[in-house]
Amino acid sequence: MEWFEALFLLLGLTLFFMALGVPVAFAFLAANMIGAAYFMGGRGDIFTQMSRGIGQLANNAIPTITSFNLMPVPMFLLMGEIFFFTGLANRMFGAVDRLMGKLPARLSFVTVAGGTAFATLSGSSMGSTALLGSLMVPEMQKRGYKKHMAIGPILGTGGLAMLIPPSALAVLLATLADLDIGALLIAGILPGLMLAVFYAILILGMALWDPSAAPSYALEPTNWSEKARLFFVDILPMVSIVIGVILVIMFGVATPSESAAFGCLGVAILATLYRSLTWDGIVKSVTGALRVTTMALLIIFGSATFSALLAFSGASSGLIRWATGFELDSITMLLIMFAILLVLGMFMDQLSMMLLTVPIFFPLAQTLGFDPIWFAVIVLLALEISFTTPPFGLLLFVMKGVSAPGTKMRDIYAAAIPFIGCSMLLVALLIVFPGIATWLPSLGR
Amino acid sequence: MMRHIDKLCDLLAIFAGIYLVAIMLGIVVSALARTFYLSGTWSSHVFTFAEFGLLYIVMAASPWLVREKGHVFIELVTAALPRDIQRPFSRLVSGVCVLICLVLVWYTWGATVKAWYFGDAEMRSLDMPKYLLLGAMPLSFFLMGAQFSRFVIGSDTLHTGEAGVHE
Repeated sequence: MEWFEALFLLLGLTLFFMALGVPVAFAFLAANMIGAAYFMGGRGDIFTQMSRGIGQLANNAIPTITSFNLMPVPMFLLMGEIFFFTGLANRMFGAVDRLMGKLPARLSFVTVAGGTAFATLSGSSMGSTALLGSLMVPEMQKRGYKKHMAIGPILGTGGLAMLIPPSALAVLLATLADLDIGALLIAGILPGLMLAVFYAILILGMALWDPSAAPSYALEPTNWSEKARLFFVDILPMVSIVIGVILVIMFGVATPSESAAFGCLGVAILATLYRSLTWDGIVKSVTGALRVTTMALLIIFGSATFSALLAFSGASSGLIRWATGFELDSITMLLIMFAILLVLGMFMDQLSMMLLTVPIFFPLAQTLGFDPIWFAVIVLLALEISFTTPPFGLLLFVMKGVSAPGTKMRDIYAAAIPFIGCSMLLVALLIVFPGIATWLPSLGR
Repeated sequence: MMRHIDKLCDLLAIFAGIYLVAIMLGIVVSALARTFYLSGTWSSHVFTFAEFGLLYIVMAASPWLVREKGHVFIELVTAALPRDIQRPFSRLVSGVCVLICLVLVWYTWGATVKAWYFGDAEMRSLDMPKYLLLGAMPLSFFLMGAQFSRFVIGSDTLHTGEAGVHE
């Protein structure tokens, strides 16, 4: 079989099953069972081939799933769930809200800050959008905020969540692409902070340009001692845990898995100190972490043989030869890969996009001489931008589902575009100044 | 019959949840022991326990998650179909999932028996007989298949008819 036929078969079968509505993990399993039987089954009748191929698939899944590199995923998820189900997140959210004072468009800023924390720790920008959309949009509309000031910041938080550690999706990407997990988590900090600043400038600019878009309203005054209490009691301890986790990884004191486990314990101890750690909260936290962990790891289980099949069938090397044969410059190749991710994001979740593209894109990036950590940061950004890109980005439809009645898709598109612009600006800056992503990890080394 | 299967799935999910917390505590204890020069062979076993735990957690919690419709899926075709065809089509897709599970039960069971017969082991700090790892797969896929079958013959269907990614 030619490489393009193998590629078409493997990708085509996976996409076919996914499009039918077969759960993603089982779509990968079905395609890989057929692929493994064909490419790894050797000679013999169909049953012998199936036996060898699927036996190989099961055996390949063991080292993939039982990798210590994957450990930060459940740990970060558990940390996030404890953070939310014990009420610590709400406490912090409320404190940030009050500390913002009379800042123009304060609720938009609160949304970005709180939404980033939620999306980062929950590992799901869709869940985050749904929650923030139902929580913040009605409040902002009650206060007279225009639609773009209410919806845009929520859509924007997903991009920040992918970059700022601890990001479960960054850990998954690093594991799948065989990168240093700690380095990728650290690499996201500076671009994440820059994106946050871009968002802040954008929101402030929009509020100053059209003050009626985010009207100010009377607030209960907060004196300085109360502000200090809010900061030191309700914000600093929570933020310290997250920063502690990052610093421990950055300076190599502990592995990402260990620092994530300490993060979980830290949040649990903090919740105990605040007397908010309840049995119900623990059960909900563990259940929430278990749901996302099982969902994500079964997909990885299902696709464990996918990259091996692409390599074994010659599809990976054939595609790389073909793609580099055009002798396009590396930036054009990068933009093509970026565009492919944007298209996939219209109908696919982020993990599936990673599993389908990582085995092809990362070897190609290596051939093109890209720094893998820098390239991974760009991929993370592309994954998120694709989710909010009109007309079919999936987050746009989630947003539509939770927005107030009467919100039209064009309102959502208009709200998303300035925030997509910020992310695109960051991508452009990353291309021109790769050091934005590579400088911090180099300090850790 | 289905009640017993549901109970078993619930118990396995509880086991997975407890294992998840145990991994977190195990990693913390092991890292603290290393910091205070108290680590020994036991601490490397903790890592092995955690690594193998990921497989057991996924296999134990997946059947429960199938019942909860927690495995992410994409609705494109089902959502585009006319209303009266959506439900039969959804049942057909669930039937395909049952078939995938049954094929996996058969062949992963074969791989388990083979690993047991040849005495294969997964080499880590603690060598684990491979059949104990592979053995989780036929049981889990059987239970997943049973849970998918409720969407084939039961009153509920897997798909909602609303376009988008469901998780």
